[in-house]
Amino acid sequence: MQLSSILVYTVPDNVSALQAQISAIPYLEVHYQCHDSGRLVVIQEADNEEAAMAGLQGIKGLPKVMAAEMVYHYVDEGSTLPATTITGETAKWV
Amino acid sequence: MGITRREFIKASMATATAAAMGLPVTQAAMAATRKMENHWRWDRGVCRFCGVGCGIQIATKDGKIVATKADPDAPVNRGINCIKGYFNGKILYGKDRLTQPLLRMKNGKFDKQGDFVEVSWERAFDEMEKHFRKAYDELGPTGVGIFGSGQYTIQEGYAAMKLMKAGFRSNNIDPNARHCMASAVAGFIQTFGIDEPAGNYDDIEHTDTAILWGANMAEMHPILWTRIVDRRSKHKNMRIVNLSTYSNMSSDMADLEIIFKPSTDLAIQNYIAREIIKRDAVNWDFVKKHCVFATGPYDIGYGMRNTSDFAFSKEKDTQANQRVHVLDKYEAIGQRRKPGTKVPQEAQAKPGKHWLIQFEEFKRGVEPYTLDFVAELAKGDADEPLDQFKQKLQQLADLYVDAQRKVVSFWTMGFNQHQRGTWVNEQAYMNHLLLGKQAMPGNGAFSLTGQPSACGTAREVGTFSHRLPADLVVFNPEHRQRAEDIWHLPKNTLNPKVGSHITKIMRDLEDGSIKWAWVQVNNPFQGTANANHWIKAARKMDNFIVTSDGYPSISAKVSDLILPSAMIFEKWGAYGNAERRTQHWREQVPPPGNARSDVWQILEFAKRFKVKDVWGEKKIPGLKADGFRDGELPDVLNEARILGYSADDTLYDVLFAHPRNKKFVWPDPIANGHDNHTVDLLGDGWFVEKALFEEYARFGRGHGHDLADFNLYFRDDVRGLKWPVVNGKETQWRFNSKYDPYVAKGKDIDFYGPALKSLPSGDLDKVTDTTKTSLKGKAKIFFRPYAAPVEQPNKDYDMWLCTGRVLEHWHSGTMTQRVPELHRAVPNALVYMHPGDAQKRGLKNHDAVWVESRRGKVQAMIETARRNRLPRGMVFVPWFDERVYINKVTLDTTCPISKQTDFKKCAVKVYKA
Repeated sequence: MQLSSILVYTVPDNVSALQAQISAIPYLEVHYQCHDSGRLVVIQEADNEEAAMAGLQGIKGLPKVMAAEMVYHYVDEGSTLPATTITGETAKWV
Repeated sequence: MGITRREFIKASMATATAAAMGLPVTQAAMAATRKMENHWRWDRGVCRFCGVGCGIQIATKDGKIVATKADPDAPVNRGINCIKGYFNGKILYGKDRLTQPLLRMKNGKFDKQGDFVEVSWERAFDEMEKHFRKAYDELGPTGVGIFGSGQYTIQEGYAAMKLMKAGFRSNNIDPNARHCMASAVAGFIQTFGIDEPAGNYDDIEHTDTAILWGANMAEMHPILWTRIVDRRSKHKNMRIVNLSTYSNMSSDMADLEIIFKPSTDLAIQNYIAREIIKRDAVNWDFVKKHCVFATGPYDIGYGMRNTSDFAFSKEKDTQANQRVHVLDKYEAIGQRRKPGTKVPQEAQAKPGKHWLIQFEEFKRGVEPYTLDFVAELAKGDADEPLDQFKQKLQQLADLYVDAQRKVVSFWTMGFNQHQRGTWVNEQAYMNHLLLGKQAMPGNGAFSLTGQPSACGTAREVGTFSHRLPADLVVFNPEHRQRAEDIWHLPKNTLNPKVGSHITKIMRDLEDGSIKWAWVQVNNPFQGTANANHWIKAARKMDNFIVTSDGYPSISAKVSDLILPSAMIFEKWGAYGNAERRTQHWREQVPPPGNARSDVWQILEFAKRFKVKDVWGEKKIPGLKADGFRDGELPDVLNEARILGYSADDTLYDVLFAHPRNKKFVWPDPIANGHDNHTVDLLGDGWFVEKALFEEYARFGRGHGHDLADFNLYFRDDVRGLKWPVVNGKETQWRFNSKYDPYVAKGKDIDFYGPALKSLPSGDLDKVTDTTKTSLKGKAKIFFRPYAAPVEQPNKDYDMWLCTGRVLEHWHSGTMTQRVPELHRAVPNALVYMHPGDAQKRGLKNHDAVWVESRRGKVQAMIETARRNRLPRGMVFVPWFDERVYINKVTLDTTCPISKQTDFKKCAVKVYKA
């Protein structure tokens, strides 16, 4: 299980609408919003990597989103980290 | 983890992010956040990946990284990360981390054709030493080599360089950074006489114009791109121009996009220079006070082998240009000659030679580069109307020339990986100097780098085959003497003959002139162009190759011995970024299993050699230098005795663990509770990383490259410092009296770099007066002509191939491919292609194709849309994916001056798989 905080930039008059749109996406919660600067802080909870990437891409695809950057990354202390092992044609030299 | 705790962590992360970004948060929320964060140990570090050098905060618990966040106090990234940076904490934890040395064996013995078997470090070093001695005894110092890195920590690069140059007396150490910014270095040295940029990233917030030349910053320098886009949204005069050979993510935000043909950037730059003169926009006050004009030979070859003996039969036509090149019609115009002229490439031996010319000669040089000529030559998109392209070139010139407008030109691999990379770097300065827009806030030609310590280690430490620290070079007797003094070496220990550059180390393995090589912190067998040659050389020739890495890269797999390395936050280290900022970090977590730092590996290996093994007389084929017998390094053992060394002292004792270094003792309060496995394993109680840094810093202090005291970098309020750091103060803009303490009194601008500052004079073609003129304090404005790429599409290989990176992956993907999120985001390298080109070949989007050149072929899937939109006649393939081994296809031509490979252009055919 991983948690991420995502900083989202939009235009000031779009903050409320964007909050509603983001909150409707599974795994995403809006924790802070600033109407003056057009910024929101979103927390994403993902139990697999596809969910983790889908959240950020989903936000970037919403109307009037200028940027979305992941800031804070937490990995559950109890879990082991999943990772891929690449296998390629180079296996034949080994 | 329980719901309540999870909710608590989520709320705390949100509060930390909001507070860092200046959003209002309550005191109660902040208190709760501190409570959660205090549960972990926090410390700061620097991102492992690109040359931007973002600051991050790292949380650890029980020897593992549990969280990372962008450092809100880091001036580079100001609290945000790009997608790669965000995953710094995960790169250490791939399932196939190497944790034990692996040696190819059969029946319990080393065998080059054997399988990898786990062995102890002792056994690994025994084998490594045995093969080193065999190669060294047979061939001498030139028979061994190190593939170094722009990802070395400063201390790793320094230790490797010192062991090779001062210990083994070999200059065959060269970094992958050769592939990355050697042309930038050569451009700096030729133009300014000193390496590294004048400006810094704050130029972005001071400028009105960002002009990208072959730098897809949106993908490759995303945090700097965020700053540019932010400037664009806040400053109404801000304009962004993207010059590229294809449309990319940086084009999406650009006000002006110019798609040009490969290598025609040389012509576009000369068009701008011609416009500056034609519009009477030369800043004569600046130019007369601070600049001179210069040029050099054109017949400098293409950095390939001079013999076709090793070429595949299909390669021979391209390779023949190395000796004689026939001018095409555009080169003929641009070089004031007749088309079809056969030009023997006679200046190969001294391609960087240059001389002073008068302004009138310079003007005559750029005169052929009219709008009509350049537009016809350079237009890169066949579907774009010529008139529209001409208008764009004029708009580009307008932006540069406008006296009210500040301009920063950024570039990376488009310029640097270029058969005339040094020239095109010099041309960027040419236009900024003509306009007087250099070395001032918001004004400057700014070379960005790709790797995290290409500047800080590869360049400043000098892990190149010709360099020593702080811009010193091996072929300069005064420089060698300075290094020998600092290192307490006998006179003439150091070898004056330039060693093999990274591509040449590969060629040397192929022809048997190197028989032992050590790969450190890079993956040269995936990263060097024309790879089929080098894999064969590694596997079939009589040699011994060692690779130190965290993961089983291609280089590891073609080696004879694999050593498991500690990765970034498992060791102490420092990186230097593209704005001269040096940033240190502490060891955060222990390395897994028996993985160990590269510094430890280098120092342990040094223990196995005695002074008498290396400081006797040594053969160096081709060495010719004042004070040396031809082809020979002298026996310096007598003088070594006078200096107090015994012939039986080890290189570890003499080069590293000497009394001057041992006074830096471990433990040191600066560790603040952090461990140091390197020191613990060496077991003799000196603080290796601090001692090596301080010894290295002696080279640059007082010479314009001043680094601060080691401890200062760890102070709470410091987030790296931009050298030169004088009296504890960093330097924002070099060469400018308002910021740079090295500027001579009474001068506003002083290009004080000392190298190549005494030149003969001549005309555009040759030296006419050998009397040397001193250019103290001045920069050079070079005339360099258009030169065509050595290999161009023809009927058999009808498309251009350009290679590069993608946002999600770092270099050869050994780390980022193992982070599931990044791997899923971009699982394989795609062949980006124009939909029309696909249709012409009967291909549908996502069909599998072969991409084939004279040198090799790979299979991959085509993509005709999305992030890269190619013009007709060109494909782009990123190189991160070892399964799409694109460097089997690329051409190992280099800029003859910088020796940097051109990965951006060769000819291929694409057909259905």
